[in-house]
Formats: sequence, structure tokens, C-alpha cells
Amino acid sequence: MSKARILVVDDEPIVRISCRRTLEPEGYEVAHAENALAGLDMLTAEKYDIVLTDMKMPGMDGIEFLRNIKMRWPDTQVVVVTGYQTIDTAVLSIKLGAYDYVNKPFTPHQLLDVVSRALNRDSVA
Amino acid sequence: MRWCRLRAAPRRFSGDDAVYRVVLLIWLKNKFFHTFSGKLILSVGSLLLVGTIVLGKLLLDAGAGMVSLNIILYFIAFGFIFAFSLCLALMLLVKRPLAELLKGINTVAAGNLDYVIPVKSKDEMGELASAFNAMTKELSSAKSELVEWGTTLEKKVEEKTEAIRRAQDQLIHSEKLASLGRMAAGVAHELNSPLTGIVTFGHLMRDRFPEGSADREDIDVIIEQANRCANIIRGLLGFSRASSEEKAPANLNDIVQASLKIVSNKADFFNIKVILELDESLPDIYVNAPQIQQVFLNMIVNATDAMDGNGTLTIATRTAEIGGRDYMEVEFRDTGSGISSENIERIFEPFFTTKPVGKGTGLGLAVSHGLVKDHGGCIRIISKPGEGTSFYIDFPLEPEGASCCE
Repeated sequence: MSKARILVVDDEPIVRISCRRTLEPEGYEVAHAENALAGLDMLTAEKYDIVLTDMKMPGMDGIEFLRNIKMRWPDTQVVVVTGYQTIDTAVLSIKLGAYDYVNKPFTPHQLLDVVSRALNRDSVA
Repeated sequence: MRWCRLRAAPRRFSGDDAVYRVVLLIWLKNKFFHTFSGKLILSVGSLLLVGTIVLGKLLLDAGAGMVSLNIILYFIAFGFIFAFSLCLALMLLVKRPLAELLKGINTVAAGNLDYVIPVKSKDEMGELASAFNAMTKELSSAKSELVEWGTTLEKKVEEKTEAIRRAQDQLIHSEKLASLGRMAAGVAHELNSPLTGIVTFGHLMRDRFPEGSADREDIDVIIEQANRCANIIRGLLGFSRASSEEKAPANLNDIVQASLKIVSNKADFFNIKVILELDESLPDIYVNAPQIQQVFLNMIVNATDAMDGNGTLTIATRTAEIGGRDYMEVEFRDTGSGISSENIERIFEPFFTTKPVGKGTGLGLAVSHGLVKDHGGCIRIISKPGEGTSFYIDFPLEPEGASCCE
């Protein structure tokens, strides 16, 4: 089985690095983008199993990004990672097809847990 | 003797001379009579005098020899006396009452509305004086009424101004809160990313050291403190209502016990005697247990602070009926310093605190109030400064409808 490919989209470098440093040792292939448009370009170029995205980003926000992904790549699982979680955006993101959401700051364990659950669901589906 | 002189006078002076002298006299006297009544009296008197004299002279000129000089002189003397009496009568009947009236008008005009003009006669002058007195009385009562209205109006204006000022303060306050809420949310978002870095790299680093090593424990402290920061941020978000979770059945007694367990190891709590009066038959209730625990913890911490770490904290649970609805009530009663009535009014205001700088954020009760209200409940306070405070937290058994605070 090939390595699962994960795309991290966040305007904060430290979050991108944290995700990469958490996920790579566990055997995931991690790429990142600093905004949603760059993320969409990367998704167009290559296939990713999971997208971890921030909600509040300059330019296109997480909700719009999620909508785009689900429209064009319905098989790609999206996990919303946010430091500004309101129940409304959480409900909306799940409604739009996000697999789950993680609050910042998250522990490596929490991140790995949600990623492996998302992948398992993917493989079952 | 008098008669002789009178008789002699016209002989020494010509008739023309006499006329001029009287006119001069009148003119001179006129200088001293400025009032209307004075002028009136003088005019009437002098007209009569001049008339008598002119008539006498005409008679003298026309019928010289026909009428004796003596008769003419009598006529003139009579004219004098008649004019003088008329002047006197006018003086008494018109000038004096008018002067009194004038004095009255001046006094009233100067502001003394209590002045009463003496009414001495029943004639027109007396009537005028009475009418004037009546008018003054009317004026006086109208003025006092006006003054009263003025005072009432002033009071009303003051009250309204105060109300407007309060409303404005409230508005400014809520405006401030709204921007603070936005700021808190913004700061929370900004801080959560660096905290993610600290937590992640803390964990990565910790895993490089063997279990139980001192280095690993040190790094645990870093992670713990980063998590604490995250909790503070969550508190701020709780304040700005950016965080919400689901409700599930729970027992308030259990939440009380769980909250006590958290504080029991704190040094501040060592000298606090805790008395539990829990109603064991209390049914479960749909609540967000972590949020309610946060509220209870807040109550316990506040009670501890109010007692300065030394006193008795009584926590009681019971069912209660308020306004025809059934509630579950939790009471936190301390033997602390109490809260003054003006502070009770502000106690749920965010950032209002009486605790020393660094000890209280002024958010605890504001957040608690919001959380309890989200559950349809309310917080009531009864406090006696110097004796202690009771916080009553009431949760409705049927969460539908307005909260008991409204």
C-alpha cells in the first residue's frame, strides 16, 4: 500500500510545519500550501487523500475551499483545523462534507487520530 | 389785618402784574410737580385762578365804575379760596391714593408679591386698590405654581438626563464588550497557531527522552503550560460565545463533587471547611457538564477568595419553585467579606473585578452568567457585607421558556 498523501493548507508556517513533523514520521507524505488558491492548484496537479485546512485564511476562506474540493474531488477527505471554532462553522463544514474538525492547539496524538480515522473511512468507502 | 393786606395788594400792583406773577408761581410750582395727579391738581387750580383773575380784570375794564372794585376783589378772593379748596380736595381724593397705588405697583414690580395696598375708601380709588390687591394675589399664586412647575420640571429633566446617561453608558459598555469580544476572538485565533507549534514540538522533543527521565518531565511542564494558555484562550472564546458544546443528562450533585475534587488540592483551599447539603434525590438534568463544572468552580474559587482562604463554604442542592416553575437549585454560601450593593449591580459585567491585579480577570462571573443563561437558568445573589454571600444557581427542569432572571 502506497503512502497516504496529505495536503496541509494554513497561512501559519508553524502550523504547516507542526503537521508535517507530526505526520511524516508516521509514514504519510505531506505537502503544504499557504492559501486556498495554491491548495487548489496543487490538488489539480496531484491527487491527495486528505486535506487539512484552516478556516480563517486571507483570500479564499476554509468554507469556500471546502466547497471547491468537495465539488471537484469528492473522494478527498477534508479535516478542518481551526483556532477559531464556532459551532456554526463546525456544523456548516460537516454539512458541506468535511470529515471532522480539530481545534488548535492540537496534540500530535489528536492529529494522527483524526487522520487515521479519515483514511479508514476512505478505505471502507 | 389779613383782609387789609388783601385789599391793599391789588392797589399796589396792576392787574397785569398779578396775572404774570400767578403764572410765574404756577410755572415754578410746576417744576416740583411731576406726577400726573400733581399736574392735574395744579392745572385745575391754576386754570380756576387765572379764570377768576381774567374775569375780574375783564369786568374791571369793561364796566369800570359800574361794578365797585370791592365786589371784584371779593370775587377774586372767593376764586382763590375755591381754587385752593378744590386743589386740597383733589390732593386728598386723587393724589394720595394714586401715590399709594404707585408705591404698591413699584413694590410688586420689584418682586414683592405679598405687598397689600391699604384700602381706605369704597370709591373708585378703593376699588382700584382692591382690584390691584386681587391681581397681586393671583400673580403671587401663579408665580408659586410656576416655581413649583419649574422645580418639578427640573427634577424630571434631571431624572431623564440621568436615565439617558445610564443608557448611553450601557451602550458604550456593550459597544466596548462587542469590540473586546472581537478582539478576544482575534487574539485567540492568532495565539492558537503558535501554541500548536509549542505543543507539537514539545511532544516531538519529549518522545526523544526515555520515560521517567528528568528531561521528559521538564518538557511535560512546557506542554502543560501551553495547554493552560489554550484553556485561557478557550475561556476568552467562551466569553465571546465562540465555543459551544452539546448537552447531556447529568446530575448536579456529581458536578459539585467533581468541581470540589479539582480545587481540594489547592493550597488556597486547605483552611476552608466545606459542608455539603446535597439532595440525593435530585434527578438528572440536561446540561453541558464541563460548562456547568466551570461555573461551579468559579463559584468555589470566588468563595475561597472572599473568605481569604479561611472560613466555611456550604454547598447545597435542592429543588425549588420560582414563579410557578420547577428549578434545581445549587447554593454556594460562604462566610466571607460579602459584596456591597453597588458591586452586586456590576458583578456580572465582564472585566469587573474587586480582586487584586493578576488574581482576577473579571471574566469568571460574566462567563458563568452567560453559561447558566444558555441553560435557561439564572444566578441570584444574597449578600451581607461582613457576613458572607450566597450564590443561588437555578436550572429549570423544563428548559423551554424564558429564564428565571427575566
